[in-house]
Order: sequence, then structure tokens, then C-alpha cells
Amino acid sequence: MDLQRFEMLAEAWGADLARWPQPERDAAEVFAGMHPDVARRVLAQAGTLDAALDAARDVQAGDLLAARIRRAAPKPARTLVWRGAMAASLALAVGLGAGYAGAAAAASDVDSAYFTGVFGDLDADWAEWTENGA
Amino acid sequence: MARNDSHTGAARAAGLQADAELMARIAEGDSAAIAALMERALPRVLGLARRMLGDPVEAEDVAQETFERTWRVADRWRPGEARIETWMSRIAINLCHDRLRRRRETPVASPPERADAAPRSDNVIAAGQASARVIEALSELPERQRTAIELCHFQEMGNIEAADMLDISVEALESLLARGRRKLRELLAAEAPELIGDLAAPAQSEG
Repeated sequence: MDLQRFEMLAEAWGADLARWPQPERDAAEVFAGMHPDVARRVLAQAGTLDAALDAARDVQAGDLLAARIRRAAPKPARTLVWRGAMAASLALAVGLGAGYAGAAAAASDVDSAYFTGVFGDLDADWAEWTENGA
Repeated sequence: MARNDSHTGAARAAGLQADAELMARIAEGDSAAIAALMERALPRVLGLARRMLGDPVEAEDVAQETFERTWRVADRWRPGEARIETWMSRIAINLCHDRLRRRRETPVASPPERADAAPRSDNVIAAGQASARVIEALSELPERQRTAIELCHFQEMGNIEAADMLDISVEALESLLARGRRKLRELLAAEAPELIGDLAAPAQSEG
């Protein structure tokens, strides 16, 4: 391996020889052993860029994203049972409520019809009384 | 050497087993296990998506979708060849590729290339200044150079695996990597000299 190849590999793969293509590692180590100063300079330069890249390895998530992800996560079985029970209770309550409302509406209609009839007659009586009085 | 390999193999097997146990707990809705995986994998997945896409909002969408897919497979997870984070990284890379392909197919709707022109989300504000500058510089690289650096530097793929993923030769991959890193060094030297110092010029052959 010559310097040009050593530099090309450092440029492409960075300063860590363990990341270099396997077939060239041994030759690279031999080159570095024979030219330690040059190798050190080339690897230091590549290492500076590696370190800069590593600064961007992780990005911390905001609370909103974390909450969205957590919300989609599997729920404990007891939570599902509890939610099922709640849903059943809610359905029952809605059913009972609807039944009560229907019955009340029906009763209201009957009462309304009854009172309309009574006062309808009363109106007629009142008109008749007025005419007689006039 | 054999002892080291054996030790490494045993450590890897233990890691795979620990992952399987963690996923089993996640499948049962164990909030501590869910928090543990999010703490260890979310910054990595989000970082990958930010570097690949440049756009912080799209990156959050990819991170969320990656985790949703992980939650869905939790009850079927078995100790296999890959650690959870490696598997999640592959999912995130594929999701990013899909989005990048859609951008190419609908160029009018493509987001701006520079990260600073895109809407800022809270993850960018939370990111360190150095990280933000490097991500910004990465977003200025051509897509294939950026992907090559992502696969080889950040995901630590070997040259054959990365070349396969990009559907190019190993030589072409090496060229992409070298050009990408050289351009990145120039960008950082101009925009963030404190990160890269006076090493802007690429190494010059002396022989």
C-alpha cells in the first residue's frame, strides 16, 4: 500500500482502521508502522471529521413526539379489560338513557295529547260562553 | 483471539436475549420497558431520519412510524440476528428511502434542501449546536453521498452490505464516501470552523 491509497481509505472510511475494508487492513497497518508520522497526520485529519460527525449521531426528541410514540405503544391487558368494562358500562348507560328518554318522550306525547284535548274543549266552551255572554 | 471471539459471541447472544425479553415486556404494555426502549433508541432513530431527510418534521414522522412498527411486532419478536436498534435503523432507512423517492418523483412538492429553511420542531431546538450544524452541512450533500456516509459511518455497515443497499459497486461506494466526506469537511470549515479546525484541506499525497 502506498500513501495515496492510505489517504483514500482514510478519506472514505475515517480514522478507525477497524472500519476499513477487511482485505486492506493488514496492509494499512504495515504502512502505518513504516510511516508513523505520515499515518498519524492522515488519521488525525480523518478523525477530526469523524468526531464532528459523531456530534450529530443522536438527536433528542421533544416531549410532543415522545408522547405521540408512547400513546401508540401496547397497553397492559388490565387496561384493556378496564377500558372494555368502561365501554360496556357506557353503552349500557347510553342504552338506559335512550330508553328512559324514549319512554319520557312517549309519556310526554300522551300527556300533551290529553291536555290538548281538555283545553281544546275548554277553548270551545270559552268561545261558546263569550258568545252567549255577548 | 478465539477466546475474544467466544466472549464477543456470548455477549452478543446475551444482548439478543435481553432484547427478546424487553420486547416481551413491551408487548404486555410494561411502561418501564416502553420507556427504556424509547430512551435508548429514539435519539438514534431521530438522528438517522434528520440526517437522511434534512427536514425535522418529516424526521419526526419517520421516527414515530418506526416505533409504531416496532410496537406492532413486539409480541412476535424472537432472538434473531439483529439487535432491536439495528432492526429499527433498517426500518427507518427504508422509510427515509421511500420519502426521498417520493420527493424525486414529485419535485414540486419536495421540501427545501437546507435544513434551516424547513420548519423547526422542538427536536431541533433541543439538539446541540454542533449537532445542528453537522446535520445542516450533511443536508447540503448530494443524496447518494449523504446516504453512503449514513450507512458506513453512522450505521457502521461494511462496504459490501452498504454497496448492495445502494446498488452500486464497492469502488463506487468508496468514491461516494470520499467525495462526501471531503465536501462535508469544506462545508464545516466554512460554516463551523470550531468543529473542524484548520483541517479543511483534504490530505495531500506526499509520495
